[in-house]
Amino acid sequence: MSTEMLFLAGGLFVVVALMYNSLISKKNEIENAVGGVHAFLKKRSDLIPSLVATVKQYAQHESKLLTELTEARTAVQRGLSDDGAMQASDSMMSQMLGRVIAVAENYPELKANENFLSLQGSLNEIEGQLSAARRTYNAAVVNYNNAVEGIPTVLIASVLGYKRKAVFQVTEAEAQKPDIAKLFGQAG
Amino acid sequence: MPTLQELQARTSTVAEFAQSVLWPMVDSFESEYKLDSSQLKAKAIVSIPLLAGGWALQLFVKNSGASTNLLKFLGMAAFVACAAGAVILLIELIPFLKQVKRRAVALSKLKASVKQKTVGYLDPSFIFEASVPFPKHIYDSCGLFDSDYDVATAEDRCRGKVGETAFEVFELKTMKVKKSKDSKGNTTTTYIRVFKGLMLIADANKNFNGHTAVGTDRNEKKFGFLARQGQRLMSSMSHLKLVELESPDFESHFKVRSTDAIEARYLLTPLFMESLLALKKKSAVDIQVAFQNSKVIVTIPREQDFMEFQNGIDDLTRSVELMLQQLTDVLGVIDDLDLNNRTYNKISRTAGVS
Repeated sequence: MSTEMLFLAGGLFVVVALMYNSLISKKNEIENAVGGVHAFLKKRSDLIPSLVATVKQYAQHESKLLTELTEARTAVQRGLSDDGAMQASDSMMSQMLGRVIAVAENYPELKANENFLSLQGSLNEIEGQLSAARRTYNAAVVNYNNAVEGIPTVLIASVLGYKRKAVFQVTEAEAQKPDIAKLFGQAG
Repeated sequence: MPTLQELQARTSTVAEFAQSVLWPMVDSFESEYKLDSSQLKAKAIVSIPLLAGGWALQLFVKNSGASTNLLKFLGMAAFVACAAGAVILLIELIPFLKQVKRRAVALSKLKASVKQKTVGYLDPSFIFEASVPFPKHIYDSCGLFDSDYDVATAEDRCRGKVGETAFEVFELKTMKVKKSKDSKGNTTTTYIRVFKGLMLIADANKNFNGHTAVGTDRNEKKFGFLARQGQRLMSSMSHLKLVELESPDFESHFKVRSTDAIEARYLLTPLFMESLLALKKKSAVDIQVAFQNSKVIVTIPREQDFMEFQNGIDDLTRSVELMLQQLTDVLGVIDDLDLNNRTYNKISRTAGVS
């Protein structure tokens, strides 16, 4: 084999290795971002039992809503291993929590309860962090999708069987401004 | 604690304050440290002719070339005249120079005192310090300055609270020293500015898990994709990794680097990005922000000196008005970036994922 051919083969190997490593690193970034989302989902889930216990003390009539919230929590915990299920249960949990917070408006004693206020503050903070974690996940997915679909990395991606991934979508229900009156009606 | 609006309202009545509090301080200073040059002038009338005459006579004797007794006598007389003139002048000049020095020291104290009273007028809890140590640790670690520096100073610090936010703001100067030698071997020292402007450190009431730096992006607009690739490469070698945000407008003005990408996005909400962008456009300077150890560090480049008497002490009222306007403008950043919003607290810290 001539020297030129050796150089060419060596150069080609380096280029392929760089593309391969870049794809692997993008895939790992997504896994890391998913880990971030999971951590905050778990943190939020962990607050649910305290929230349910606190709300129960003052709002016995909301037992149906609280049962639904507990079920949503279980669904989130089950769905952590599946990206699609995780997104659906995360969205459902966000809506349920919004309803519980809105319902508190009907119960002045609950609204003034220190434990409830502290939980509300923590939930607000976790929602902000979850939103940041979702944005991080989406940025990692966009980066990965660009590599999976772009030339020349598409060649390596197809060999590795890498497919386009879905970003977190804001559901229609989430995008709408909450109708507090309607929420009260549902809860009651 | 006062709100920004309350502080701004206070600045509108500063003229009365200057008239009733500051001008008497200046008047008292002027009466105590007034320079008395009458004695010096009286002696100068005698000593200057003696010095000039003696010097002229010396020149005449030197240029005449001859060496007669008369010329020797004249030379001696010229020397005596010069010496006498110098002695008479020095006897009055030395006390006068002492007066000038005392006045300069007192003037510097008066200025510091006027600044303290002025800042205290804005709010009694505000504190002014003319000399402050250079915050080397913060400057070096905040991630907003890439260039090295050899000389660094900090001065004129104001601290206090606006709303719930504790703050300190001071002037910073950092320079690089470059020494060069010309063909004759003479050394020239050049001072190259790295940064001149203000550093505002505000308590964020949040404990940051990581460190996020929002610096000026000078290359993205010029070089686009290539600049971004360069930033990615550079950040891969640094502990602060590039965080690419969703807003193309924001991305073209700022580069965000962080040790915690999730926390960076948690802090840089779309609303915060919008506010920072608007602030940059409004101030027309390369404003930068860092989030580190529960502090928000804002740097604002600025040509004009901070907390100085721009119109001199003679136009005290106007100088003080401008001083307070400068200070409230800088404190406006706290409102602009909504740092007073106490949504989260240090106890319920949960941000960031390692």
